Amino acid sequence: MSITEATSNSVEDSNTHTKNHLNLVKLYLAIGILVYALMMIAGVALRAAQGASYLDMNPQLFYQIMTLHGAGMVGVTGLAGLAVNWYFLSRHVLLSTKIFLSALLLSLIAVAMIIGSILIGKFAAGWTFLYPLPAKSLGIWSIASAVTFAAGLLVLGVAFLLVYLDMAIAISKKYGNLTRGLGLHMLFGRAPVDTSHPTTVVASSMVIIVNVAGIAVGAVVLIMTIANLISPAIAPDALLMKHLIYFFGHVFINASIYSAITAVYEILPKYTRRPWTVSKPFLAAWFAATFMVMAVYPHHLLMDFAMPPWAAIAGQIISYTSGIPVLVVTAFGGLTLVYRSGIRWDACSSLLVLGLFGWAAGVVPAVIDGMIRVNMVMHNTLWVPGHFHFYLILGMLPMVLGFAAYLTTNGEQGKSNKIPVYIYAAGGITLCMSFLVSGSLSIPRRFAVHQESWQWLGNVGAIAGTTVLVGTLLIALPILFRLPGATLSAAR
Amino acid sequence: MAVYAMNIVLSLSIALGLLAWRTSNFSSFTYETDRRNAVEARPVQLSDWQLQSSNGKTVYLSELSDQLLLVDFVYTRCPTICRALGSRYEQLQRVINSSGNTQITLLSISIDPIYDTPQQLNSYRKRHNGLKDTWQLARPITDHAFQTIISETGLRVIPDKFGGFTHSDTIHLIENRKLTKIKPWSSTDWENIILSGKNS
Amino acid sequence: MDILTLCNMASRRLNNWQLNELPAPSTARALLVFVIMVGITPAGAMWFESSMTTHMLVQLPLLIVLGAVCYQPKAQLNSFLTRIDPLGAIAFICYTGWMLFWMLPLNLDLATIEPSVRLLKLISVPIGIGCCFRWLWHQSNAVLKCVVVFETWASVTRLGWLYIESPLQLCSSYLIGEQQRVGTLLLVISGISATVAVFYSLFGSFNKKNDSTLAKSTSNG
Ligand code: HEM
Ligand SMILES: [Cu+2]
Repeated sequence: MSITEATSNSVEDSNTHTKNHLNLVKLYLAIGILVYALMMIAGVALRAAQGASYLDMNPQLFYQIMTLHGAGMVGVTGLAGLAVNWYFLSRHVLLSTKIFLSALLLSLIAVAMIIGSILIGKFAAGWTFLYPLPAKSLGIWSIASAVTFAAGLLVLGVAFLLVYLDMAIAISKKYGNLTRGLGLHMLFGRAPVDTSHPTTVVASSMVIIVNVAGIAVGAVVLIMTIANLISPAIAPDALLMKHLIYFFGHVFINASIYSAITAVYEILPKYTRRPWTVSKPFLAAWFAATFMVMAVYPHHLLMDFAMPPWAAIAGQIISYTSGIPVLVVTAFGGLTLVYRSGIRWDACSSLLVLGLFGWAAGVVPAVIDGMIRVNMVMHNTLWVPGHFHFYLILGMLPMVLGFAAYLTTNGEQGKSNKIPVYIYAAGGITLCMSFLVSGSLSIPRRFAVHQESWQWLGNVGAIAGTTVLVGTLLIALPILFRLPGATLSAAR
Repeated sequence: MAVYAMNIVLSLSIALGLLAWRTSNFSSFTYETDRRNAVEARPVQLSDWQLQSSNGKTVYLSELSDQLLLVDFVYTRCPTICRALGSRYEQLQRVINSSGNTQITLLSISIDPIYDTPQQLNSYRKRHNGLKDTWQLARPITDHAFQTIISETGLRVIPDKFGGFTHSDTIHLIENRKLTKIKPWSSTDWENIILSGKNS
Repeated sequence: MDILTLCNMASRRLNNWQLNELPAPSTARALLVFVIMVGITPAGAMWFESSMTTHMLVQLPLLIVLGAVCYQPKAQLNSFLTRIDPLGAIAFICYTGWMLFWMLPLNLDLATIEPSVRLLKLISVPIGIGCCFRWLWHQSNAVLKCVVVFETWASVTRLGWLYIESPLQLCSSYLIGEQQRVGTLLLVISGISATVAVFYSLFGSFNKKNDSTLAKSTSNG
């Protein structure tokens, strides 16, 4: 079916079309929230194992669960971000429900492969599959399970690719091309700033550009990993592999956060009854972020002494600055939007603002981590999980939950309870602090067994993690029950 | 739609089946592995190769092949693989002598018959401390004989830029003029075959 | 004139580049027959197969491109293909299958040794890959087209990198140094095509309605 056919079809039966749109987004969200909850249980188990008071876990199992938690959380974050982005983008351009559904099915196949490789094949090399660790199992997992894990990630990449291509084509059809979607003609060209150009289209264009690049790199590097697993004589350069793996991983998880921001752009204005429109600074910020997200991964390589110094310095500067452009325009935009607007605080609006806050505050630990001197000491400490859990638990996930709350209340404001949000936020902040404090005490990350003097932090983290889980369930269970009744249509 | 789905599955199975057949169930992706797998699956009946032995006399494969023959292909000027092969034969010959197994002969056939005269062959064996009794060296003297060997074993010999050849580092097992096994020189199967006196 | 306009102009040229600028199918067919005949004759086979570079980067691409250009199915065949494969999935399987088949070092080697495999190559490459690609292109929607291009690009990159990295001589007919040279060339091809593709998808003009400067461009497919 070609795109033009799709257009005429949708005019005919636009009703079923929009209903399918919504149902699919609901399906994504429901699966996403369930997986989040399950993976949180795994996370609590990990932290409790490090605390050693509430749980005694065999180290081998710890690394399996850590791999599961990492891969599961990254995968579901990608799916949830995609769902938010897809919902709002389909208000502006025509997206294919068939492709969105196929992507979900493919992702589920990928998830089955990944979970199978971990739980049955005992694969435990971490979700970053950092070469050559997957091939060096010391007999704990088989080559076949490592191959299955890598192949699962590959299938996941293809699933996302399908949707991104569909989005890219749809944006190009309507706006000319991706750079026009990004608004470059208004930023650099003579065209005046068109305030009716949707913010979501700008964000989506950026996400598509960086993530297709990331998936392309992933598609190559995963096959090289598999080739090395099957034939160990084929041993690619380890530093190059590390570059590519982190490019892929970093871009992917970053793009998921940037996808979820569309929820803030689209929903918050409804609460404050003030429009959020594009402006030159807004466009400039997203333009800069496009490059910076792709250039920021070298802070994972600051410890690699084989890297030339200039690369480390460039990596440091970019880590300092990469989050800032979009953050400034979004946080500033958000604040001016909310300030004295008489916003109604319910679960949805407070989650969205929490997300904005977490994302903004998450920059601080990230920037500290980006410093070379600090990174030499800290990048293998719990500081790193501290910084990304901050972004994810206090930034990304609240945006997704806020979006879900918005859907289930059908956009009606003041209907949802905001107490669970406080529980969630308190737990989240404490959990992240338990990581960050551990990091500043030089406690290493990815250690199954912690020294006695470190263990209290693990226990604090386990309790805080349970609080996050409870908060999530309190927010999410009503959402899950009401989700089937949501009627707020996605399509135009 | 169901028919279409079936057609998709069908064409997918055909494609996969074809690839599986071609690669011996996804085990051989290169010519060299395919050659080994093919021989293992179906031993190759060899014709009666005509060779010139290192003592200058003409010998035929049938004269040697009442025993287990381990055959490698070398050229005496080779600075790389053939040295390894030579050392390996030296090792295997010691195993043969200590095992008392008289049913096994090592045979090195030259892939550079113009340069590798009987003298050259003898000095190659001397370099590797080889003994005449269980290590034979030979070269094909006619072009036809050389081509027969190449086509029957599937050996690939490519001239390189330095006047030498790139070639396989494998040893071939011949039983009753049948090629039954091809394995790298480093494989420990060779010891097992010598000690047990048969192809396991 | 700013850089954006320049980029736009260049990719508009790409965008307007239509299939009718290719040689006519009849010319392509004659050329294809010629290349196949040369590939069969001992001297021609010798020339094409003497080095990995001419074999993989001259003969195979020639066969693929000519096969694709001369693809012009009769209306009957066309409607039959459309009927049995409305979404292009079978074409996709056929195309990827033959691509994989000829990417195996084993088959490249056999084509230089066994006349029957050589003949298979001369026939299956233009049909199985070249024509199939056009069939696939005709049958599939925009997303599938992009996936095909993407996967083909990724395979070229993987193969190039593998050829460079592998310490093993993958083809028994070719020296390892040559394998590495082909690997480098494949990576160069991959780099150039990635640049063109990025450039095209970022700056090309795809909305036929709004952009009046594009009135000249015709739709394809
Ligand atoms: C209840 C909430 C959570 C708890 C208690 C928790 C706990 C943990 C623990 C203990 C680790 C291992 C740290 C180490 O020693 O290296 C970890 C790693 C990780 N977590 Fe979480 N987590 C939670 C939520 C999340 C969320 C929401 C995400 C993402 C959306 C996430 C993503 C990750 C990732 C990517 C890793 C890295 C795994 C690796 O190093 O391979 N976590 N988490
Ligand atoms: Cu040699």
